[in-house]
Amino acid sequence: MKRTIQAINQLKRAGLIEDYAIGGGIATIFYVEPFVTYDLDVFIIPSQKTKKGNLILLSPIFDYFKGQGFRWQGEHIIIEGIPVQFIPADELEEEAVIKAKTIKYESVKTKVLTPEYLIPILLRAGRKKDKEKVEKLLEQTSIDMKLLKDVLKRYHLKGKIDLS
Amino acid sequence: MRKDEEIKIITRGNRIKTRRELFEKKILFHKQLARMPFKRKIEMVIHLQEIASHIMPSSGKKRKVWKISSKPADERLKHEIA
Repeated sequence: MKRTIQAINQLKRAGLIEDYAIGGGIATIFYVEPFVTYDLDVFIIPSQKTKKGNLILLSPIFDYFKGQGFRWQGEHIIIEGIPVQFIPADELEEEAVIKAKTIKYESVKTKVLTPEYLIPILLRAGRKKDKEKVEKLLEQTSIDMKLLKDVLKRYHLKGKIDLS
Repeated sequence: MRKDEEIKIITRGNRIKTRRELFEKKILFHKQLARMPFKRKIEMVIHLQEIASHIMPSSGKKRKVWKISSKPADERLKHEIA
């Protein structure tokens, strides 16, 4: 996964994205026990090169990776054998990316969403597997409950979970 | 406390545990796994993908096992998952 992260970091250096953070299953696994997952979700904050008004252009990112010799499979780009999906961040996700935790994977810097933002994002998606991830996060990692409740309140997601 | 939680079970080495103790250990085991280094967790994800590809090869969705350079499939990893 080191090369995958290095390739994603190149996007930032090339000015195609402002910032990014890993989300979804892999971000959850950073905090909880491993479980099977098949793709790497990457939330991106588009740069001026990839954002034109209300329109987000992923094609410069597609072209960049195509030029690097990586291939596409549906919505994913396969980098070092890992299907990576780039998800342009909305308001909640953008805040999550900005406040994401910086970590090192085999000495390569990357960012991972924190549980206080992962949980609201997963609750909003609302699929069974997302709820399972929320359960794991609540059971297996320490969470700043004050911050979590604040995020849930601000993004109108309080009704999605009972934290009492 | 529920009565069935105090049912005694004889485990490995003739040690006696209650159901409650058994499940407390289980929670502890999951928390220990959660504290593993991220790199080891990714290695375990790949191992789980391999297991899944063998037990549900025709489940509809075509899922590929990640092919990354540092992929280990050693006995130590298998032991940790078991």
